Amino acid sequence: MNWFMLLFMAIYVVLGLALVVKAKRFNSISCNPEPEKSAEFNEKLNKLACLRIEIENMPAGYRKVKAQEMWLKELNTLMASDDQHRQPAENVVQFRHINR
Amino acid sequence: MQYSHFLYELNNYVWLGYVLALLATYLLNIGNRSYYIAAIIVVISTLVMLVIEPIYVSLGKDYPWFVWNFWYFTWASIDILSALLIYMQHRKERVRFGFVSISCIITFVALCIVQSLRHLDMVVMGTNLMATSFKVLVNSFSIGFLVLLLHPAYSTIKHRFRKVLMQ
Repeated sequence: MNWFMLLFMAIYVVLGLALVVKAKRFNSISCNPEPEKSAEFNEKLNKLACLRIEIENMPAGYRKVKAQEMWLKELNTLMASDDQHRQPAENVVQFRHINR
Repeated sequence: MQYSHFLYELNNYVWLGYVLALLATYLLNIGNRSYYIAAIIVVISTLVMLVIEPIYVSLGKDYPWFVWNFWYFTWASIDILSALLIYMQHRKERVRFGFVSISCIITFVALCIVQSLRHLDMVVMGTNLMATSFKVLVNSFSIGFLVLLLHPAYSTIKHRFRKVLMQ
């Protein structure tokens, strides 16, 4: 019984360490805030950056293609809402390139 | 009074400090979403532990076997569940992990490791080598949480102080 509990706790420790690594990775995929932009703009951009990684991890198929289209649409809408980003952003082009 | 005993007594009042730190941060509007997620989970998980502890102590008289085996396991479970909740809530809301939230996750995982080692030391091996170090570690982590929850307050004070000096 004691060893059984200990085994469970060892699983907890492994799970916890994996969580720390995943959290660090989650942070590294989030884009850096642009100081000249508003907090709202940076927040939306950050959410899109996180969403992009989720889409990249999705299995190939119809859902992934649709999610990519939605992502590009949302990013273009965000960029168009800002005067300094009327042109499609560089990372949109990169994302298209990755998917081909 | 020994350091470990002093910290053990102090731990009962630390939870109140968590609540006050969270309230102060909220009222002064100096916290971000990531901070609030971590702080609320820390406050709730500590409260759960504070509520469970006397129940376990009273159960110990009638069911000593149960308490003996599940004592450290329960705290380790709550710690890991708290870390998991902080992580999942950030993922759900797609919020970047702030300094406080990532530190809280690391502290919860460290606490889980300490509880597991204590279970091995006390229950499995029966050596009781970690008697003092366990008390010191657990209570130091509790005070560490308080320091973390106060982070927005003292970083704001530091920022304002620097602003005044620059003028």
